[in-house]
Amino acid sequence: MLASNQKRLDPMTTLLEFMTAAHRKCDEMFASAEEDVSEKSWTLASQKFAEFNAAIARHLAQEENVLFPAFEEATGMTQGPTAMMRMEHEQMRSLLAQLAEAAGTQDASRFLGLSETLMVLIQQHNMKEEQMLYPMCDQALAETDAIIAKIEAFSGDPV
Amino acid sequence: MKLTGLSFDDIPPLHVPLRFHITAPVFGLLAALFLLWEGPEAWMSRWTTGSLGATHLLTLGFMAMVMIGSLFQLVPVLTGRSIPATKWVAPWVHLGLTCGVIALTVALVRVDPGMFITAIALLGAAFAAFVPALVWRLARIRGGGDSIFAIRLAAASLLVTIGMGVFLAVGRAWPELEIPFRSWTDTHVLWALFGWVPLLVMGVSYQVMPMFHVAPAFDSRLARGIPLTVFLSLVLLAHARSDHLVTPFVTCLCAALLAYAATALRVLENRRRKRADPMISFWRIALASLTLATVTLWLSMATPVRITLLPESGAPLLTGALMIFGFACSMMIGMLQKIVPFLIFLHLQRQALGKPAAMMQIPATNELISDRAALWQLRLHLCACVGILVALAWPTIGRLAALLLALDFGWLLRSLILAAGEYRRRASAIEAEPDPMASGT
Repeated sequence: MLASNQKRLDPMTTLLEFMTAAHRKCDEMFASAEEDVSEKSWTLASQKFAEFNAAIARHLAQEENVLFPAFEEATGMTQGPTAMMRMEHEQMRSLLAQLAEAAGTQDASRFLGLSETLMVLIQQHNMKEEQMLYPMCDQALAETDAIIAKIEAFSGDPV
Repeated sequence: MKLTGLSFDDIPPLHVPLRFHITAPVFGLLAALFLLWEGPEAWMSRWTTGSLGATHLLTLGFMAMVMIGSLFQLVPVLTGRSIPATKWVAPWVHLGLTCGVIALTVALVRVDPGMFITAIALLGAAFAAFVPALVWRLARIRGGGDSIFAIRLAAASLLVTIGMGVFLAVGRAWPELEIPFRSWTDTHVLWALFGWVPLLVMGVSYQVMPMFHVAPAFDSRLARGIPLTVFLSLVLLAHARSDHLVTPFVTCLCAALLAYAATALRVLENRRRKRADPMISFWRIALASLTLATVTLWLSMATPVRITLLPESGAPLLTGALMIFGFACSMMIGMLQKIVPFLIFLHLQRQALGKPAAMMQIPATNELISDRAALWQLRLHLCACVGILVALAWPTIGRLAALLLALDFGWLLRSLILAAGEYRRRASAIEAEPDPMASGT
């Protein structure tokens, strides 16, 4: 199930560790879907891509609806790093929509070109979050455990 | 943590990295044409004008050009702060480097003291505009991880390399100073080829291999221990006055480099991203070349063994060719084909923000450099690698090897120019799309 892809690590987990684990999980799902497209196993590829798409959509939504607002409230920075991250999320969503279309028409060449682009986009975005934004969040937010609980609760799944 | 001044959106304009990335293969091509013109003699010894000229066209004209262009792009992403006044500084650094490499090549070929002074001034100005800002940024990153650890050591090695290079050029410009050319050249080459180059590649690989190939991270103890051993071995080697000290230090250096090649190969083989990707082949060629170069370095510096296939003075040339072309250039040719299309995509996407209709104009990376073109690049590069190795054993085929080298860099130049042309077409198409925000007013 999708909801199981983010496990609480231990009670002392930092936001950096927790969110980074989600990034790695998404990377692996993406790589696996891409491999199947590269081998033109479309049934498996479409299913894996849909799972990846749902997982990353959920991760982006968790950031935009829980983590970023908490950070913005704590620091008063609404036009700073989080605004930039939101913009990059939009760039990713646009590519994800095009990828879904390519998966739908089983256009492997288009899919692999777009997926290469998305992979690089995701990785340089992750680097900014993991090296700057998440450590800033860990520092600015007092109750990281409570935030992590809220992030987990914001799953998009029925409560 | 200081939050103010941290910028997440400091990517430089596209012309900043692109002017370096497109000029680089022009110098690769020049190196090939130069070798073509010089003929078999260039492949006989490291002291011929042909090999000295070609070496600097490749190391400064191609390699340093790619590295500096990429650092202008990477430093803001890594540190959250751009190099000060990038937009104005970069074109001057580019111009200084371009004219400086040409001046240095002319100076080396014509043994012209006046031209050496011109080269020192131009290259000195280019590096002076860039290196202090880079060192300042690198010094201020707190923590920074294994990548930054290796890149810092690489930057220190670069300073030694540049320093020794300037001294050598000064010695050529004013021959009456009578500097000890041979030993200083050895030190210059050792720090350049076994310090700056592999340490930078290590630092970059710790970051890009896990990222782009979804591979496991490098073991942190190795990721720091290896570059530290390389760096300390070079420091000790520079001070080793007797042969029996050289042997253990060279052995240490070679062991560390071999350990890196083995670790990097293992990381690559354990990657989770298994799609077909020519970059994997470029990495394999690079790491195999590093292994061979290290073995030949060890044989020639730490043992009395002579590599029998080669002419008398061929061993250092073989080591150099493997490090410069087989190792560094392979990795860079592979990476350029990834970086340039991505940067073009990034800028077009930003330009199209807020214009939903324009999104369709944004090309995927394989519409900028096609999969077919990338595959041909790999084939041509492999041919050039083999050609160079054969020409070192049989210099008579030197011109054929030079021709293969020209095809390799020529193809890369063609790919990058086509990609840049596609960028122009798409950018003006996006520009022409109506902006829904503007039309309402």
